[in-house]
Amino acid sequence: MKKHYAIIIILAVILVIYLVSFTVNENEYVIVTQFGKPVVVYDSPGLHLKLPGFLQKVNRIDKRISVFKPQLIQLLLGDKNPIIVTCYVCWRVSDPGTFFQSINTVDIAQQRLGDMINSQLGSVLGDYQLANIINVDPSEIKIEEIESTIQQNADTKTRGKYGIEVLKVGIRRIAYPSIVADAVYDRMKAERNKEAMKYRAEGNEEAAKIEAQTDRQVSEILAAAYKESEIIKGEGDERATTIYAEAYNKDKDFYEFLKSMEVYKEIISSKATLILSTGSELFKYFDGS
Amino acid sequence: MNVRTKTAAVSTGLNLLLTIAKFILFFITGSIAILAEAWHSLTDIFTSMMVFFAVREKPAGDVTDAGESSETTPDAGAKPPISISDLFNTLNIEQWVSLGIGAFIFIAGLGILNRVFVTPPEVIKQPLISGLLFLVFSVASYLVYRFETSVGEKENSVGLISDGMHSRADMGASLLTGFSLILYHMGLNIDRLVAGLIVLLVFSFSIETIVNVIASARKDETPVFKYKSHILFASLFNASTWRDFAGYLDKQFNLNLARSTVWRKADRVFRWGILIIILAVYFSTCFFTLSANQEGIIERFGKPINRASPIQPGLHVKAPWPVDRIIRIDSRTIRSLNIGNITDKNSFALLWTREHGSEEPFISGDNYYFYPYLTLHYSIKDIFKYRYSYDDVMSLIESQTYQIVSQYFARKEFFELSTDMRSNMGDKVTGDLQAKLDELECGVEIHTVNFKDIHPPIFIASSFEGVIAAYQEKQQKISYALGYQNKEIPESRGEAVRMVEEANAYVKDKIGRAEGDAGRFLLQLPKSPGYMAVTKIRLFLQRMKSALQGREIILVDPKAGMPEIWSDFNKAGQVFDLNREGP
Repeated sequence: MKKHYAIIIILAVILVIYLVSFTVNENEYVIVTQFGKPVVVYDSPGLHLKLPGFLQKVNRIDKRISVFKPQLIQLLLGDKNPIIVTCYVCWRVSDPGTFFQSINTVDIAQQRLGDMINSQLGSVLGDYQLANIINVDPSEIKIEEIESTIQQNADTKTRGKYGIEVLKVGIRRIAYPSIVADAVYDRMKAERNKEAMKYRAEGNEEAAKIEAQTDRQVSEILAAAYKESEIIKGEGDERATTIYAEAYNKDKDFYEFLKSMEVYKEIISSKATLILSTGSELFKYFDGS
Repeated sequence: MNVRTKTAAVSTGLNLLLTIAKFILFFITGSIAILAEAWHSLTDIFTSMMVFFAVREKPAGDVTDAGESSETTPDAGAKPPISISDLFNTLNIEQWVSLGIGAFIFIAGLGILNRVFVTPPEVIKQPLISGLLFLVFSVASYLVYRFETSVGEKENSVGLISDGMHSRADMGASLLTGFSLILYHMGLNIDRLVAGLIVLLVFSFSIETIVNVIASARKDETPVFKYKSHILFASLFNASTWRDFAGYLDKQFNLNLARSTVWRKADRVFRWGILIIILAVYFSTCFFTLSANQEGIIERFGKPINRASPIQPGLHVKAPWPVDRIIRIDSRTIRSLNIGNITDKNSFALLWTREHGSEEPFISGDNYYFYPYLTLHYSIKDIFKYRYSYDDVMSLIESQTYQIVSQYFARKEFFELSTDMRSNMGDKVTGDLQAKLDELECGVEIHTVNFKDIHPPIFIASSFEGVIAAYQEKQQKISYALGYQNKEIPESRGEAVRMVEEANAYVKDKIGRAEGDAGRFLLQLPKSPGYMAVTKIRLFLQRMKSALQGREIILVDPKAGMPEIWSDFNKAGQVFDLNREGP
């Protein structure tokens, strides 16, 4: 029987320890409430004691940074362009006591933050233009400024009354509403067609340029060649003339005589009928004298 | 049907309805306690059915058929047992089915136990309404209990009374479940604890079923719940149980265990064995292992005690539960995360004109919609930051990557992104993302950001391909023109060379001829002026000879005056009249 008592006592001690002790983990705050009233907040990890059972209750709040995505929202920019924005928010509980009383759960906190962030997105982006968000010129982009403004505004509002610190707000993705998107698609298509036509025209242009340049080059080459060949020929003629002149100048009469003989030979064809005087030099011996 | 069978049938029907309702509530709420309680109620159906078969076959007031109350001593007043070898031959279909049900429910209990210890906690939906419904169920079970026990007492049926007691236990379980759900609504989650307790009841039933079916088969009785789990368990601490068991084994296998010293102390051995097992199980929590891809954090009462050095793979020692707790983190496996568009594994090719996954468009700096497919590879480099800085690091990485790539795309033209910048884009995003995540201290290392695909919207992809076709046409035309150029210019250069060379040839010819003619002339030129006259005469005569030879010649004597008629004597009859014009 004594053994049974010992076992019962040991079990009872274990049960009491279980009921009055609790641990606080590294990644959480613990708020101990007594009949619903917060009596103590623990923010450092370790083993702690409380009153047993339902007298005191342990409420755990995650102290790590949470990331959540508010609903995507459609809004108008300062230049009247409509866009759809999705963003994300990094937040954590900065004041567990205030958080426990005003928000209590992560789901509610995210709902409240979502309301606030979407409101801030609308008001802040209203001061900017589409070119400040989408632009090939990086100096025009103001997204970081927008994100920083939203974060600071939201943090100022949540830190005191909600016990929440907003650490970061980032724009995840930007899109256009469907009607605008359709117009964008049509524009993209038109631009592509324009680009295709441009390429074809450029092809014709380039081809025509190349062919014209080719023809010009051909003409230039042939003209230059003609010029050079004619000069060469002229120089040759000049040289030949000089040679003839130098040689024939030795005895003009003899040259004349020889040339006349050649001419006679050439101009008197085989079918010609010659009428010669017997008194000519050729026939001076013809009469027998 | 008599009153007892009707009562058993009604009880079975009610238990069936309760079980169905509890399973439906489990699918609505997701509470493990409700699941355990539904299985527990399922056991009630089988016990009621067994009682139904028992009371149907035996007359009223027969104590042996209906079994005994839970306080009945095992084997009291039973028939001589049959041997183990004959046992399974004597089982009828009903007993086989009962054994199967016992085994099935035991396995189901293991499944619920697994959910209690392994499955991560889920949010219970509609806890208040479910809790109130379970209070109603407990009232229903109470009514079944009262109904069966009153009929059982009136009809002197121990089977009905026994089944009624089982319904009372079910009432208790339903009450426990109902209160746990209401407490959950109030913020205290004891769902798993209650599920664990009810699983013990489920195990208890399955063991009772198996033991009682075998016991009834041995004694040729209708199976009713004569032996209760707690009595069976308590009897293990009783020396007489072990003595009787030794006697049975001696008889069956011709052994001599009952007289052995060890066996006589079997009850003590059992007690110590139980204690040693409990202590062994408890102190086994001092040892833990980490696999090759893991690092560990030891938390002592919630506080990490090894911040300086994470526990590495292998066997390690820690203080027992609940002092120390090991947190294993897979830090070495390279994980992947799809950003933007996710490729469908069934997509056979990443073509622009075919949708190949779940897609969402991004906007480029030149206002183009397009679909990028990114896959991120990362691993954990600091398990403490990973564990304690963010509640969902993957969500952070995903959001941060979305932000970086969206802003990167918003600064670039689509064709830059899809062509020449694509090779550097992965490295650029990897670097930017790593810098941001380091700034946010989430303990993650980004290995690569892979741009698997970037394509325009499917329904205008043909326009993009049309541009590429037009570009190809442009290149084709340019190539043709260059071909023309490549043909004409060399040919004209050849022609030019030909012209020049012809000119050179002309010159050569001209000069050669001039030199030849001049040389010949000079050679012909008489060397002495005295030779000139005779040379001329010679040459004149030679030329005349060659010039006049074979020619038709008419000689005219100038002294005779001009003739009237010229006659060609070689051509008879041909007369020339010089005074006539023409031939």
